[in-house]
Amino acid sequence: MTSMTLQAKAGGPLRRGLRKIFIDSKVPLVPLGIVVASLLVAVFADFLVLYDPLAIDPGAAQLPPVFADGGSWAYPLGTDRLGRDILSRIILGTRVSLSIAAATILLGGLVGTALGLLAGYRGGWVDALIMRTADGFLAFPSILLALVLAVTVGPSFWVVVIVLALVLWARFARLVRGDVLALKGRDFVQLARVAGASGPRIVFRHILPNVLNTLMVLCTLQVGWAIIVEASLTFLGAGVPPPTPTWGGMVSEGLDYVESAWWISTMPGLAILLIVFSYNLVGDWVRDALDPQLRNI
Amino acid sequence: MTRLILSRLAQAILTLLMTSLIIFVLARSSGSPADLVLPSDSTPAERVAYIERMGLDKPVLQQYAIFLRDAVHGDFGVSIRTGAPATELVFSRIGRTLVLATAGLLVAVVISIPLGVMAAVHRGRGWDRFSMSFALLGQSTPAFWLSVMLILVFAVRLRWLPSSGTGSWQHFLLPSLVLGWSISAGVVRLLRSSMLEVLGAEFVKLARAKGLSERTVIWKHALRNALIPVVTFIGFMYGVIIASGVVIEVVFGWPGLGYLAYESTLWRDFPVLQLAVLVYTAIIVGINFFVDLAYGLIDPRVRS
Amino acid sequence: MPETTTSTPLIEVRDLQTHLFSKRGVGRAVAGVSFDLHAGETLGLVGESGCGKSLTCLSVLRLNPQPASRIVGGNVRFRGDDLLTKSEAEMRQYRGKKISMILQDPMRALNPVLTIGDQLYEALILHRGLRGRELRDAACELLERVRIPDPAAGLAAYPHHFSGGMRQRVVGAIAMAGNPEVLIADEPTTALDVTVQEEFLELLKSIQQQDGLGILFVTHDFAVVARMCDRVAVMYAGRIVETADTDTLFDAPRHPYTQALLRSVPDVSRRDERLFSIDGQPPSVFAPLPGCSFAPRCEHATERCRSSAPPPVQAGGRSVSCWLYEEKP
Repeated sequence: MTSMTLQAKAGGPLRRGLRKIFIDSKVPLVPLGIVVASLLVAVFADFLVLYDPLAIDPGAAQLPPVFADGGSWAYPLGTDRLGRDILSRIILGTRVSLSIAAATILLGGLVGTALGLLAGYRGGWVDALIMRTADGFLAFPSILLALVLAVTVGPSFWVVVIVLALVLWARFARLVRGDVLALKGRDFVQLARVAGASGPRIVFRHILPNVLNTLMVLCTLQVGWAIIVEASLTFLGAGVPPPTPTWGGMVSEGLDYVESAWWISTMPGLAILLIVFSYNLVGDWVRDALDPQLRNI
Repeated sequence: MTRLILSRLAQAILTLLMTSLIIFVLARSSGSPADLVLPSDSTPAERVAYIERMGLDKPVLQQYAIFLRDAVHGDFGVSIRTGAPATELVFSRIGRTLVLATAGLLVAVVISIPLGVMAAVHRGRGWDRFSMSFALLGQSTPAFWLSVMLILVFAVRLRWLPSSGTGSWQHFLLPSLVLGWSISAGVVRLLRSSMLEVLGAEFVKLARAKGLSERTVIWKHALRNALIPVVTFIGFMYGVIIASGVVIEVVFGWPGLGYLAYESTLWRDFPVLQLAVLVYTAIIVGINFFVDLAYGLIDPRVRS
Repeated sequence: MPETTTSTPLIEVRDLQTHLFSKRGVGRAVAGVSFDLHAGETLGLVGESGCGKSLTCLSVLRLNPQPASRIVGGNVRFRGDDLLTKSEAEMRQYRGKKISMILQDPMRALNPVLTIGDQLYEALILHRGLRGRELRDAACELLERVRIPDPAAGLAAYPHHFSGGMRQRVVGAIAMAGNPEVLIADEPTTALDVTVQEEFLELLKSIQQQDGLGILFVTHDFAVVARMCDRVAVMYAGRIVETADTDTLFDAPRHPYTQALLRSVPDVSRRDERLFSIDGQPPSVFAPLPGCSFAPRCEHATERCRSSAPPPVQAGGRSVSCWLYEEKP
């Protein structure tokens, strides 16, 4: 008997999880605002841009941002070497970055979760095979794989998504498997077994809902990772090819002009920093609210 | 114990083989692997000769066997760009990459261990907030962009350091700092949570009850246990270290393996790229293997 | 068992209060605990989980977890010196040297990455300043004393090579390294098998007789109390509700909680009886009651019990905190 009063909270794991996130803990307003704003920008980018991000205007090349000498509000963050408005390109770039992150997490997450559930529940050689494969993929540096693909198949949006998903699935699989192993021994699973429930039914009705916590945390934390890796790949020329404006590509384009027009490389990087920082903070908040035990993720 | 080593070794070799298979398959999936390997000005006769020699008209598995046979003899093809054997190019660059990676790791360790320990010991207060903010910032900053910014400040504006190349410690400084910084974020967080867990352990309570000073309890008893997951993490992270290394080498013009890989991408110099990737994988697999062994040294429970 | 001694107590705890600080607020986990411990005697501290026994022990050595808890009142005197006023550096002079502690979980009590020898040497170097040959000999002696076979090999071993019972004995050896006068044992046998338990208790008893140790023995098992303790203090919801000699407590328990506890111990010889358990639960430390904490579960409770907490009433070497005993000391 403990001296704590027990309070049965109603609702399944999802409701409980959401309650824990939004009601029981302090909501980080600014980062959450930035995350929401980034999603809105990604969706409505076409309406938010000041100029056509692809339009070339040699006459307006390399204009500085508004807060520097010679800048003006016409081009708040300046223009690049081809006279394209940097702010507009950053806005459109948001859509690219977030789409890649979303696609990657969806693909890698689904595959990883499925395989993790399988590995954890089945055990034995299935488990060993899946985990060894996962280790193999985790050991492989995605950057190099992307470079290989850039040469063999050619860089594109989907190449990047696949490369990232190939690493991401392994992370999901490992963590989900760990959760399943822990849950397998719990009473309610044993009870379901005793009652005659079949394997897949147990997995979907009993185990999966309780794995949701880990999934929610992982999803939010991997957005930042996906954005940074994609930007690095595009920077190296193995990611999304021009003329699509991407943050990584913009930094790369500005390299030659770092002395004269420093803003071309600086601004997109700041965008990355701001967005990833906010997503990571939100991810941390979700994780701490749901279960601080997950801090090893 | 030897059985453990042997099994780990077998696993390592298996992983390496799998990687080579993946690259091999990818190369062939691009349509005409001959175009990848031969210079663009080769004659049709040379093309036919190559196809015959490599058995490109034979079943895939047989081709892979040929590839392995050549590999065992140290023949990984010839660079499209320079005509020199791929092995020559690649092996001349490994040293510099390893030097940079080690320096980065040292920087990371020197930064992260104190920060991680202080964050755990002063949980919820000043050091903790600082360390966590530092870690968060580190994880949110793209290494390539940070490199560009540092070059902008230190090389272009202040002219204190060179912006690229190799040759002196000044060339060495910025790349290793950036590499170290990008690794340390994850290490700080892991070490902090590991320390927190260890500090709550029974044996720590007992160590205090013995009358030991807090300093001894933290640095002798707690840290040694807390480092165990960190060591595996670092080994695990070597893939990330390598990946960051590639980008950093490119920005700083550090002529290592990563820069070579990048160049070969630009030049579509597939044989060199292929070997570079294989060597990278071998290094990662090798490091993981040694980390596994080191784990046994650090944690006596694993030895028996 | 020796008669209750009237010599000066080694440890005098008066009105010790330790509070817990968490998101739920402030919890009065130790709400005014008083007891004495004399040399050569074993004082048992019994109660359900969560009543504050462990926190009391930790508070005596100022090892209560911070910042989650803090000692907010009372005093703890060792040979007259109030430990609560000492600095951290001064406290370290007592820990291990004058007052030692052994904990409940032998599986986790030893550092897994250091050898048994290292952990013993640490204590010996710290408390007795030994080195070299002397150090090794003293360590072997200690292991022999706690009946570890082949002490020399034991020194080089790691904790995971030892069974739970042997580990607990090593913990005991480390505790004795500084020749302490008081040993605080927080449920040391709870995690051990019954046969191993008996061996360990026997060992403890013999060491006590040799050295004249005062032992504060925390447990929730009355069989162990009967075996080990000369006197017993019964704890409930952060307070001590009754203190008496062991025999007296078993024969004539006064506090209703003690009576209920003793009744709920299953008697193997009477198999046809239903198991007795006390209805209800102790109050949360974060929401203490104004009166007696046991009142909601007590069959003798009156309005007075619910409104004001009864103070301890001393009489003939025993004390009880219950309004039932106010008039008849």
